[in-house]
Amino acid sequence: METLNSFDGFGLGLRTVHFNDYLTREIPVDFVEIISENFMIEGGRPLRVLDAVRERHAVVMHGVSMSLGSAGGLDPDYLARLKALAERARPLWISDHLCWTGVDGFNSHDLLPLPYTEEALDVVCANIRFAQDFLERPILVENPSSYVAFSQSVMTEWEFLRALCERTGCYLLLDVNNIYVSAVNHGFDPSDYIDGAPLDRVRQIHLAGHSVNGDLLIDTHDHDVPEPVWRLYETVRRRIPEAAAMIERDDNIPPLGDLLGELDIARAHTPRNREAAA
Amino acid sequence: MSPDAHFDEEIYSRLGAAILAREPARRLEGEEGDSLRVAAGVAVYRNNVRAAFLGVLEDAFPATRRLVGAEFFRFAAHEYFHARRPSSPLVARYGDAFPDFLESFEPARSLPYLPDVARIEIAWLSSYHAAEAQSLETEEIVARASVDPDRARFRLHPSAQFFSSRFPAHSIWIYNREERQDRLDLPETGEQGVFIRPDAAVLSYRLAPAPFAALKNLAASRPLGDALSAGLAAQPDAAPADILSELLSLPIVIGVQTPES
Ligand SMILES: [Fe+2]
Repeated sequence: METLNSFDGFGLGLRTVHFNDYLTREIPVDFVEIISENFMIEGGRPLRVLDAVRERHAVVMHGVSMSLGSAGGLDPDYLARLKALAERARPLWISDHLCWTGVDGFNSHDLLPLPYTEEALDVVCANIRFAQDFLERPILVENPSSYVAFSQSVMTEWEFLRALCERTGCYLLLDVNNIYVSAVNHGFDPSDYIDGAPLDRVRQIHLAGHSVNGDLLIDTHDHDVPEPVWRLYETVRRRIPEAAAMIERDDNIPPLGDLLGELDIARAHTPRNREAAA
Repeated sequence: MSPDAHFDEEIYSRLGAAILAREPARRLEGEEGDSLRVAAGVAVYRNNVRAAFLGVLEDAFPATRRLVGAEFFRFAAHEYFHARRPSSPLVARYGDAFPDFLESFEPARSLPYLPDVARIEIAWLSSYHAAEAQSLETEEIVARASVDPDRARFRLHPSAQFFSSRFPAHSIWIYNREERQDRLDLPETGEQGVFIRPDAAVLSYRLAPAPFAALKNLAASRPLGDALSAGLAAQPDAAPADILSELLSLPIVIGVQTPES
């Protein structure tokens, strides 16, 4: 697989409630991320907005339905639609999650967890290779938040991700909030994750908020980024100076101005920006 | 490493079944940790999945939801989830069977027009996401069909979506979609019409029975002469010239084919 150059900058997700902002004024972001499935339509307003935004900003495509963990392989129809969208959006890259979404005719449209076994590794590697060949580009794989772990697992998530990158040439979308959420839920140290993950493969970083539900943290994307996630982000950015970092907000979405304010906080938490300012 | 080649799939099946089940699971084989901790984790997936599908329906059916209230809508969505296992690879199509479900949903019986309002919402959404195309101007259509108008066939805009109801479901839909509070005077007849998105916005046209029947015939690739006859059959007091001028006033025709062309 070809090498994917880094893109250094700060961005936001392109959400319907902010369409008018993007159409009527200059938004200070370096890139926007689209949820691929929301634009896999024949025509209409979302695609018109995408075309207009594409004129001014770099775009990355982020999917939720590839189901890289599927034992039965990937859906070629889905990949064909994804590829058609990519021809239109000309994204820096396409990403999806390390998860599965459906089984036995049930499509959950949720990001369900994998056991980290050798068998699962073979399955996911085969699926990533298939996707990369089909899309004719390397993809980014995102680490998920998870709420159950499997006793069958023989390796950690970061070991699993490292093996994926080594075997398939894929890259990573590192979600710092997801590391934090899973670390609390499963009782591991997030710094072990950061030490063990192949950070040289990270091209994009997600920042988000979560909510607390008893002993569990839930990745809800409906809050501001909390302090421990910012601290983890700083640690990560010391080791990954160049990456496309963004805030994910999918629920309880505030006005765009508030998210731009939070993106300024992300800039301030990026060590090289702080050193430059000092 | 793995002792059983199908082991991971079994894990998927068990978690999938636990998410779909009406009752929360007490224990899941193969998950790590004590049973309370596992049950709490599985409950997060159960809730996430249900909340996401509810959200899809709430986005797709705002007028239906306003008619029944948020609480009842959530209840109906929950029952729909259990009645029809979500299988579509496209999450946007999850609600396609919701109107039919409402048709047979006993607790909603007192609102007989509800399924038709929901059908109108699906038609609107399909029009909103349909492919782009350029509608022809009236003069252009007339010029192209003039060789042999009776045998001319029209290609309709890909965003054209028909609706019809024996209730005034379109009036009810608009009233609720626009979240109006004023007095609503409903006709005692049914309503029918078409959604078209010639440009960025979806336009809705309520039509009399004659032009509606004629248009549906055109959509089925019938020639104009047959379509007008069908219109007259549907509404005997209509005048063919009026049907024609109504059809030509809509931004719905994107192509004209005559036997010679
Ligand atoms: Fe993420």
